[in-house]
Amino acid sequence: MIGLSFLLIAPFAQYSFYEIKNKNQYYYYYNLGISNVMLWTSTFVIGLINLLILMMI
Amino acid sequence: MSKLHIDSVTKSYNNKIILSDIFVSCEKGGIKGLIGRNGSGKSTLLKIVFGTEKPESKFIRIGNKVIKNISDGRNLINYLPQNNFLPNNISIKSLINLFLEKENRKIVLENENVKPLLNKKNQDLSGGERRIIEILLIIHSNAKFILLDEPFNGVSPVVKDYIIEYIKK
Repeated sequence: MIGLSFLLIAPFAQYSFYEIKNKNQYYYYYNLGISNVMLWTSTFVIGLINLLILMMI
Repeated sequence: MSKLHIDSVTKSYNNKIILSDIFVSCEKGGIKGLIGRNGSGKSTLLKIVFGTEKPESKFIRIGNKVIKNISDGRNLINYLPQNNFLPNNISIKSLINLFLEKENRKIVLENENVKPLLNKKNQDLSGGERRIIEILLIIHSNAKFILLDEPFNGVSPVVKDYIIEYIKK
């Protein structure tokens, strides 16, 4: 259950912090060649890794 | 030789054509300026070239490489947006270290305007201080071409002159 909440918390945190509040800060990552799709994918992957780790504990 | 080639850029909002068949080219090391009224599409054109705005049509090429999205333009094209883009809650020193290659870091870290700000965070800086750091980051990045959207936004006349000289260098 805690692991599943991580899978939701990470995208929610990114959405509220970057998409709503600080959208311009994406340009820091864009200038490093990291696209929006890559950033969202990494957020989901990190959430998934947390889920798997907590499932194994 | 590297050349930025922008061709056939067309963009419209709500059936109103903002950009129609724009053609611009620039040699590496050259400086081109865009002049126009508010709302004429200058920033939109720069965003289309960088890849963050979707146009109806565009053709962007640097040297022999066609740029279709942000990832294609990595190390080729960088963009300074109108407003502050540095992430909060990270020290300026860390932001510089993360953004720049090892060989370019030293120049920025030892810059007279940056040195006193290294241990501060983005949210603790004034608009002018932020702008100068952003410009130095973009200029010293590995990109062959840089797009500066209103680089003098919120800077004092003294800093403005400094930035102009820095860009020319």
